Amino acid sequence: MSGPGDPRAGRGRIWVGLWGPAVAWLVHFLAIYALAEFGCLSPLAERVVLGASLVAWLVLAVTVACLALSGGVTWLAWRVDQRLSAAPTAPATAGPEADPGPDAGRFAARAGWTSGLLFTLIIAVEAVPVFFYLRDCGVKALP
Amino acid sequence: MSVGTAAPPAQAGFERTWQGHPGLRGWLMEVNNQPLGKRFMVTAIIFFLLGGVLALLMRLQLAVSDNDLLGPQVFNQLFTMHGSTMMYLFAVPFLEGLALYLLPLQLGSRDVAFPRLTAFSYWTYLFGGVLFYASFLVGVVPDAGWFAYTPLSGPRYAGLGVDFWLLGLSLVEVAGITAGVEILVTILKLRAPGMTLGRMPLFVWTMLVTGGMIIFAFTVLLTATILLELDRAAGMAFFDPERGGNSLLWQHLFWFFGHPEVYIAFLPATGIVSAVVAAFARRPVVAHVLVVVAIVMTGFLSFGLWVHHMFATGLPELAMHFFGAASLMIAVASGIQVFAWIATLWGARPDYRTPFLYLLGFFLIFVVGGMTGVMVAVVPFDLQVHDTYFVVAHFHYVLIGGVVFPVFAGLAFWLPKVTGRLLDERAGAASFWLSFVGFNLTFFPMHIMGFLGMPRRVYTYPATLGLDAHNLVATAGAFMIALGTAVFIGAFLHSLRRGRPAGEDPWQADTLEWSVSSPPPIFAFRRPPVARGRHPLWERGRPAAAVEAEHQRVTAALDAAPTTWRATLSTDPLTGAPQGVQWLPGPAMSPFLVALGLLIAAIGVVANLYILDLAGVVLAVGALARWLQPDEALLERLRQDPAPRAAGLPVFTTGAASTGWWGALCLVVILGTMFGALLYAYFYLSLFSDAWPQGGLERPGWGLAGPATGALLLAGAGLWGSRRAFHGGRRAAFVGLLGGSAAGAAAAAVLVLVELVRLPFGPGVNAYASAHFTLSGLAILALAMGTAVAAATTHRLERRLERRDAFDTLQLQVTTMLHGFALVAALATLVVLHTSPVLL
Amino acid sequence: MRSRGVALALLALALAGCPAEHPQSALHPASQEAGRIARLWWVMLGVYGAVTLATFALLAAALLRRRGAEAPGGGVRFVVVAGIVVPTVILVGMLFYSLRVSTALHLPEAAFTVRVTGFQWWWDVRYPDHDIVTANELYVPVGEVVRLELRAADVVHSFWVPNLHGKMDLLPEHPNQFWLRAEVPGVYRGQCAEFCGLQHALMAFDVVALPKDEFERWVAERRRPHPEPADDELRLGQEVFFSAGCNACHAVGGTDAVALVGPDLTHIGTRRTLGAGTVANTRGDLAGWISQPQVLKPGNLMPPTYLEPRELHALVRWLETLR
Repeated sequence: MSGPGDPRAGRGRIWVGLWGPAVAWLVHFLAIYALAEFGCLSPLAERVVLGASLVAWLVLAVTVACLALSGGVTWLAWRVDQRLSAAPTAPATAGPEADPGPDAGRFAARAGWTSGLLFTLIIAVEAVPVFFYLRDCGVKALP
Repeated sequence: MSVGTAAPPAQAGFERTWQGHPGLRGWLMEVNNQPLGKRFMVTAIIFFLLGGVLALLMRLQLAVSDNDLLGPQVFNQLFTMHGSTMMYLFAVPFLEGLALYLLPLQLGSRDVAFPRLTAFSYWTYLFGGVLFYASFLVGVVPDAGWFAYTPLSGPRYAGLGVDFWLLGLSLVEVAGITAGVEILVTILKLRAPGMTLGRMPLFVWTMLVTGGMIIFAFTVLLTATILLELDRAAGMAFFDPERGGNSLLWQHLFWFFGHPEVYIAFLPATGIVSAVVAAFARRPVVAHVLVVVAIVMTGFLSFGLWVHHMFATGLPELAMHFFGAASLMIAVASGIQVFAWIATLWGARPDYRTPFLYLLGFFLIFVVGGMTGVMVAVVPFDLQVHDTYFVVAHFHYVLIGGVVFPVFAGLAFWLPKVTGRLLDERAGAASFWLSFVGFNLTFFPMHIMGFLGMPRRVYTYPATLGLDAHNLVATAGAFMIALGTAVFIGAFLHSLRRGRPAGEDPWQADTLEWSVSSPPPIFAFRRPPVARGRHPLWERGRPAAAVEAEHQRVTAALDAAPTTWRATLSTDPLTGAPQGVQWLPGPAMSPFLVALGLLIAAIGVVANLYILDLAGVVLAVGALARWLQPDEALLERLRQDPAPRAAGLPVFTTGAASTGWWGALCLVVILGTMFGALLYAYFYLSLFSDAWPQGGLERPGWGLAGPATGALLLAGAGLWGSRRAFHGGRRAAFVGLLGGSAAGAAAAAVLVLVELVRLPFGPGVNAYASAHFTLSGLAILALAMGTAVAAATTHRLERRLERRDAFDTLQLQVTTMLHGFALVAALATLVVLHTSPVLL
Repeated sequence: MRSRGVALALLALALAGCPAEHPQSALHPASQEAGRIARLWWVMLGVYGAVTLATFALLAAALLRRRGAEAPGGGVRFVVVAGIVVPTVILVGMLFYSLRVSTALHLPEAAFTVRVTGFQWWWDVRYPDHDIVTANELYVPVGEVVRLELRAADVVHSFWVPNLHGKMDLLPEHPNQFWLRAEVPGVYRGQCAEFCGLQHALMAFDVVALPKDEFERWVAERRRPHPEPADDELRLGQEVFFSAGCNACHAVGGTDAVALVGPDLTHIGTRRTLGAGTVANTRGDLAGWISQPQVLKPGNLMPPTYLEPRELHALVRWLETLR
């Protein structure tokens, strides 16, 4: 096996494409959790800038960055899939669910962009609550 | 690919090599995945039955209001042991046992990656479970719940029972983590040639993700249980509010494990469902890629749900809603799987035999449990139903519907493979209907009981709540479930003697385990199989591609070979291309002895006999050293063997091509997770403290930490240089650099230890001191491990430097990973401990 | 299978009919807060109940279709629509709805504050603005927001009066704030909802919602000093209280008894129950509680008190005058 169909040619890209969106989600979730748990009890929550607390702004910034990361990886995996599907080694019956043959890269790329779309959606949905708590974290604990 | 019965003389050596030793000694030394997988499953089922009996007793107490049948003490012990048994001793161990038994058969391997680790895992699991139940003999049964919330489980409020619980649980966690490593590396490395990532069966995918989840989740729980035991046995203050500790810290750590735990049990169950659905529909599961993605998604998202058990603790609402949103989105992953199964069954007209009946039960129950699941994820709604019988109903719908029913479907499906005999269909159907109807009678009324004011974990309730009828129905239903289970067990025992022979493939299923005889030979495959598609048995007639011809050549060379040592093919994690002939160990006593040492140490802690602890640790470390000691004569024999050469594959591989490298990586991840959990605890405690260090303690200075940091940096440089010296063949430089690196790590460990000893306060003063001592202590332990590994490697490789081969290179790689990790972790710990008090 | 969702709806509807019989029910709200949450439940039951039925219908269709049929729209598209698109739309909609309910449940302006402290296994209740201390019951004025400061003295407990609101944990580290606003006069039962040890099941309390003027009268009566013992028996009762050592654990306002180990007894005479909802506060049960508390609620901190019948009777009578 050689040429563009050879997964060894782009092994790093294949692994990044497969796990990248999930890792972007993980980074995003842990970051917004830490901001809400630790930030809401800190002075960050009291500083209001342009109608929202610094905590809210940071959550939004992290969200935008992780959406970009996840979206970028999705696009990368999609590109790999396109390239590998066009390769001469690809089986003729390459439907979206067909057995990818011995070429593992195409499966990984396909799973990568599929999960990329879903994780991007999830990152976006998980950030929704911040719009309901722009100025106030809803802290119930008393000092 | 089927295996003949009469072995020609040339193959007798091969079969003899794979046989275990006879007698009790052989039973203790067993390392093969098939007998150990069966032991795991049988042990787990016994615990399941015990846990069920405890549940029946609870239902008797709750059958009528104001009942005094059992009283509060016994009832609290019962629900603690019921939950702990089902979660820790049944669900995960059973599924791990199933995976250990089944994975090699599905992957086309002859055993799992680390057979001795399988044995160790089984013995620690068994010992942990026995320690749990030994509390009944001593009469101090754990009574703080399966979740053991602090401070109720702390030294002030709970007795010896909680120590039994914590130490038994620690052993079970170690067993779970090692089985997780085993599962992960086996799937990545020991697949049949041609089994690319895209051709892995869905059950294997679920176990791959589960293995990874176990490593993170169980390690965090192990850390938490150690911290709580330090509070209880060593007077530390992590969870003691009066000394700056925090009870919510326990809840965070516990649920960071506890929520993934549910999916650790559920994901393999979905793997079982996918296997049974495909076999009964006689077609591949629709939308394979999407189902794989859903499995991966579930694995990741399950780590973003833990706070949804803490909605009533008063966390900032913003944080709670992030978790609420994540809890809603994980339902999408379940939705993908459910509708993929429905699409697969569309027009498939399956036979309604026992596995499929249990599968239908799973569908009907699990969907309802999933709906109540997205309900309790809604923060304001959860404030009402949290800790009520609504939640009891919800998670029994999810865990019995989503795990136990698939497990029974899986048992009915795979038992013919394990025993060679089919279950009686009428008995199977009867057990299903009893269990299904009984289940709904028991748990459906509990939804309503929750709304009408019945909290969880109460041993009695007043008649004024109007809950007598609901509870009586629930109790009746519970006994019906018990009857259904009894019928199933009876049918199983009956099948062992009287069941119809199953043949190789009673269900015309697709995966490789159905290609060998039932029961399978102990080596599973005389000739390693080649995976020619996602469904190898459905694609036998397909013409072979060029790659497959090459794979056939390789496997032919390993037909009934090698004959004097156990071996299987190791393959590329992505492409499934053969990479080496992997040596597998034969019978060994050391795993049993290490587990025994841990058990003795645990008993020592419970009994407050520190001499026993010492004896246990010495035994465990000694046996472990023996286990890890390379056998030079064996290595020489492997180098000379003709079989690998015939296959054109190396016996020793390095880096990501070897199983050892992956095993070491897992160990690094586990240790890294422990450090991470402890650092989280450290910062969480500081978050709720007015001052850090608490209580006006002095900030740690750099007097000793400075030199320790220097020693660590030098040790790192030495390690880096030693690799170059090794590859350059410069013996003196190699010995000096790696030996020096070991010495540097040892020096740093001693400096940190001296710093601890010279501190003007002890670890029990307050939570800050506890965290400081424990983090430093973990760094010292890591450095001790790094030192031992680096010193042993220096000693061995010094003699092998001129004749160094791939095995020696691998040893240095593994040493670099472990020792290097210890250096980095210790350095990070020192920096955090000495800078954060200044910064915070 | 399909009937299950319907049965749930019918059962729940049937239950909704009779509020008086359900003193501890989340489905019989007596406040805006509990009402909002109950409405949230009914909406979710409708939406997710429909989803459940639709899923069962699809499963039935799949099993009953002729051999060889394909899922509608072809396999993968069916999974994408039914498993991703439809659930996402529904779940995101529910997320917005739940966020709106949640923000509507923010603490409103409160009339006064009550401090509730959880002990194993009873509730200490203090009205700092009114200078009233009691236990295991909470009197509140109808229609007014009562802010609660919840804390635990030992282990984690949880405050839950389902007819009025959801629950909130009492932690040993720091107080949490919560509130109640009863809209309908009545007695609502609450109970500890976080497992807190041996007698977790017997850690209940009552919330008594009184019209505003009655609440004012209740406050005034509690603030009136106790009369001096009017007869010899009452004087004996008071003496026994101290000689038998009751004061080692219990406080009685206006006397030398100031201990904080057990519930404050300043208003024990008006208490509705004994032992945090374990038994009704009748003369017989009060005497029984004093002499054999471990029979009624095994494991509680109170030791048995051995008294002559005459002394016990006097003590009970004196306690009954503490109103």
